[in-house]
Amino acid sequence: MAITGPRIEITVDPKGQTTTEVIGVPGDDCKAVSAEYEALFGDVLEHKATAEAYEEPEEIEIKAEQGGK
Amino acid sequence: MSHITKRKSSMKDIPTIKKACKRTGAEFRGIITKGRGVTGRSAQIKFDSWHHPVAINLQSGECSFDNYGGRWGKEELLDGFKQQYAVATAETKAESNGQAFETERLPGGAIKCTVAVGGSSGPSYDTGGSGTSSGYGV
Repeated sequence: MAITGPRIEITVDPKGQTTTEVIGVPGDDCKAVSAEYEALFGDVLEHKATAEAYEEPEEIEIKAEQGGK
Repeated sequence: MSHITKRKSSMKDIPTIKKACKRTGAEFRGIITKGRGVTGRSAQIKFDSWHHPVAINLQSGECSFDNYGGRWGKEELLDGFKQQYAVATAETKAESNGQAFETERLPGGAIKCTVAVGGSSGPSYDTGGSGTSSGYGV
């Protein structure tokens, strides 16, 4: 089952360099979400914020899908 | 998406190095502190077709090797090892966090790892204005 909700996408190129993208997490929360993963990889080569980073988080709660283990 | 970060490869974790060895067919030869091109405590791995082993410095995460410009071993093998190390790193972290994890090989040879925020069956991820990410386990 494909992961479609809020997620971290880590693309590892054929030389082992990683590009980490946080999707579906607006505002500053995205940094906390990815920090744990980014710390596992090497030195930063490039970092850029996208439009979603400047959005105010909405007052909603996103539930992780239950079941279907 | 909210931000993109690109990082170079770095390999410091022995269990993950062993996992990458299994996935790529490289031989894990143990931990060494001396040898050709070795600086500091290093993991030594060897590809079948390479003349000499590769030393991975466990402090810097960087590799040292002598493949004589490709004549003594194709660097693509080491690149593939680095790629599998990164995938195994993300996979291990997702497992320990209880987060759903999947991989997809992309055209061109890259591998995309997707990690669900909030876990596969864990608590919810709250995007409320509190500035916390309670469901993420941090």
